Amino acid sequence: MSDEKLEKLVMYEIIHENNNVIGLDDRIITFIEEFLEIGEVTTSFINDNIQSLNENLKYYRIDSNSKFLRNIKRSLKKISSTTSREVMKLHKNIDDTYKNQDNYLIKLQELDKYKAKRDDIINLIRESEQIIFEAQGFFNTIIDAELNSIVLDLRYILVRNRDYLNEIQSQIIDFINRIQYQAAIYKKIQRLKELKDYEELKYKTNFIEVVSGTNTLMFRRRAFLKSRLSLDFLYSDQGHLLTRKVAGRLDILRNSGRKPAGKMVDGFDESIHEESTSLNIEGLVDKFMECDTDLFEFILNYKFPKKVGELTIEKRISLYVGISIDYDNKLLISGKLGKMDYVNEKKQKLKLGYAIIKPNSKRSHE
Amino acid sequence: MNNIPKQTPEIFGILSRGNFISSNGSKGKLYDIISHQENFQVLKELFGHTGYVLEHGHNYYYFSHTEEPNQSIEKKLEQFAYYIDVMDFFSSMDQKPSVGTRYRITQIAEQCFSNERLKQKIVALSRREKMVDKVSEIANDLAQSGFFEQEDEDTYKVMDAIHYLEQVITLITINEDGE
Repeated sequence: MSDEKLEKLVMYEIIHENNNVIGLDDRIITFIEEFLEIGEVTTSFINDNIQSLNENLKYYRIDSNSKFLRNIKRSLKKISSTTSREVMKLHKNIDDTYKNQDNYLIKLQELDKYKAKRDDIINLIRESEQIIFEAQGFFNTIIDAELNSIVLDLRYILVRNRDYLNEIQSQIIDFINRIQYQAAIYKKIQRLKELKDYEELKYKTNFIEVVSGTNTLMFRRRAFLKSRLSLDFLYSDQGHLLTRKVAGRLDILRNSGRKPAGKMVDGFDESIHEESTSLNIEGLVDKFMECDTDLFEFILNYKFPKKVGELTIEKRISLYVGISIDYDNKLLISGKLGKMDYVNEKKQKLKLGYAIIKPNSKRSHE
Repeated sequence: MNNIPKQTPEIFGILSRGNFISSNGSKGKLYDIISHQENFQVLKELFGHTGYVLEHGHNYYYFSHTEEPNQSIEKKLEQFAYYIDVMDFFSSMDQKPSVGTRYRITQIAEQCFSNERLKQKIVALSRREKMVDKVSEIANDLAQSGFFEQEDEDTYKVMDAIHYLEQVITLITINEDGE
């Protein structure tokens, strides 16, 4: 804020300056406190209204002018609102003092002060109730619907606040006791420390029993709950970003200009799946058992179903080897060799020797 | 189960680490939520299934657990012995560690310089070199357990949970045997 503006505010008495400390004007602070129902508890408002109620009642008895009746109503309403407000403030301040006042002697004195204030408010409530009680007959003679409802309302509010104050009373006493009791605790701590320094804690106190009897979590070694990353999360877009970030930090991606591969063809995994199931080796062996040829010829000439496609000679050979190993108990290896010529992919002529294997019909019938 | 407050994971996170939730700290909001209407009962039942018992002290909440591994008893004794030292240190100062007390590290350090008794105590408590570091080490220890809370770099405030330590201390009886 510019100096000019500040000066203006000072001129209008909205703020004042003192030793470089700028503060709001007292009247504004009072207004804000009243508006927010905060600040110091005071009984004078209630008191003033009781006085004015008394006066106006007196005047109205002398001269039943509606002006005085209006004032009576006003005072009654104000008693009810100010009482409620002060009780609320009292409660807030007590709580705040207990929890936040940092000096323990001041705290004790403040609480004592609020205890006295509480007694004052209770007395004022009694006084108000007394006045209303005495004036009830008089109010009855005045025919005014609004007055009746105001009186009823006030009575109800006074009773409620009195209950509230009784609660506050026990709270203050509790707080004060706690604080005084703390003083005793400080002494005890120092005594315990003394015993501890003399190594007498174990012998002169029941320290071990008490402390081992406490089952607060505090004393356990802090084991943090560990959880695993959710796989579903890693598959998500956010998970991808996160893994990239971590990989970047770990410098894993430094040499890779590689991009992720393009999208896989739909159903790429199905085709692999199909081939492996359609080559039914078990069935092939069963068929072979019923033939009279040798295994090599059988496989070389076997017509596989169309969906398997054309098998190359190399594949057929590896199938032959595979079967001869896996099913050797069903097979009869004669020890003779067969020979054949074939041309491989590079157009080289090759000679191939193979063992002649026949079905072992004896064993398979066992 | 009806209406578990949405802050439950946060509450569980704090309490399950052995920390406290005090009404006068920055977690006061959570304290209010636990205290709100039937939440305490609801949460107590919910956390009961995890083996932790939600406990209520004067203006603070904490977890206790029922089954007790034996080897931890020794550790507990050690730790509480440490708290006696620390509490003794703070109780020896002009400003007592009661709920709401604010301690400034630099101020405590200054007091330690001028008060020989305090100085001896703090030297026994911390091996840090500088006085300020010694004090902040201890204050941090207490803050980590939830008895203090750091408000800014220099200031620590005493939480409601300090009542817990007081409670344990009250339970200990000293047998003076005619001294």
